[in-house]
Amino acid sequence: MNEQTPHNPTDPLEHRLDALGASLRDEPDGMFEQRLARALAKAEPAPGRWSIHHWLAMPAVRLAASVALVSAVGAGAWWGLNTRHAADPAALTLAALTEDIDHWLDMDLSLSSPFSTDLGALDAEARALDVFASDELAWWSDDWLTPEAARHGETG
Amino acid sequence: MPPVTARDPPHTGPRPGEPDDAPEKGDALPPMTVIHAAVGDPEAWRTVLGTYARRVYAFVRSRGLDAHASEEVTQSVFVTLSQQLAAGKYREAGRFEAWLFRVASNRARDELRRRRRQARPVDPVAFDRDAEAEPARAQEDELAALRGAIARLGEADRAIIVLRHHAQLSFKQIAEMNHEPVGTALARHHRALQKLRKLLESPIASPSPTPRGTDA
Repeated sequence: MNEQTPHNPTDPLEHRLDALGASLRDEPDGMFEQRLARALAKAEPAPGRWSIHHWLAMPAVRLAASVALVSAVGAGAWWGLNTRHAADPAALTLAALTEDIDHWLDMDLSLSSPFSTDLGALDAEARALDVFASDELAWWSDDWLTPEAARHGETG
Repeated sequence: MPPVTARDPPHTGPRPGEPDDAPEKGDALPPMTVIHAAVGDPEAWRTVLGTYARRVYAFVRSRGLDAHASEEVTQSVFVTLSQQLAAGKYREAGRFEAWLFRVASNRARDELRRRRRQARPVDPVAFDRDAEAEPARAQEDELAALRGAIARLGEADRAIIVLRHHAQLSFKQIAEMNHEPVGTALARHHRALQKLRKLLESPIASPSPTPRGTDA
């Protein structure tokens, strides 16, 4: 036998050990399993007694439970966001921004409408737009232009 | 695959030096059988008993208990198994055999201790004495000598021999049962075989049984 080989299937000693094991397994009589089954029937809990552990041990049940959990969390999050938006539009930044953009678009459309004949309203809106534009320009000058470019803009 | 010549004997097991990757030496349970057994499915229990009952018996019997006590312990192992499965205490998915034989090992050890406390005539060489007292069961002298030599092995050496050859566990399952790498199980098995071989070569001069853990 190769001494470096931990498991040698051709080793006669291992074959003899296997034969001894077989003889021991054959030692009980033919009623052995039935006696065990009777002992189990006395000690076993009533069939059909499922517990959460048994359900969770099944892969399909685990998968379904995971999907249900993720769906529930997603639905809860969606419901929470919608509820919050309905209660306080300003609380949701994206929603508030969208409303602002809609408002500006409406203003722009009203200004550019060729059918508008209310000159007073047009004047007021033009002034409002003027203020808005100057504010925007100040913002651009402060934040985006370099000091040199801002000075050039002032002098130019 | 290269042709098998007269110089290359047919090889059915792992090649020398390769680990034993076979899932099990004995039969394996069909998938979900343990889950069904846990809820008391009689068919599943028939499968479990048909697959493991005699292997557990042989394992317990080889630990030094007589035939009657071995059957009692085997019953107790499966009753414990059913109770723990019903209570959802089986957590080692895919390691059922390791769990089962760990329970069996503990039960056999407890029974041996109990009998020693009660001064019942069970000791590490009971396995050997059984072979002498019951010649009908040891029809071959060779097997009787082998039983005697196994009985003289230390506890750890005997356990790995018995798990491998009588309980038919794979090295992977033995390693899982003992919480050790597969390589360690292979090496321990190899050393136990060497000791057994020496005992068989010089049965008269063999020393008295070593208490335990001889293959540290």
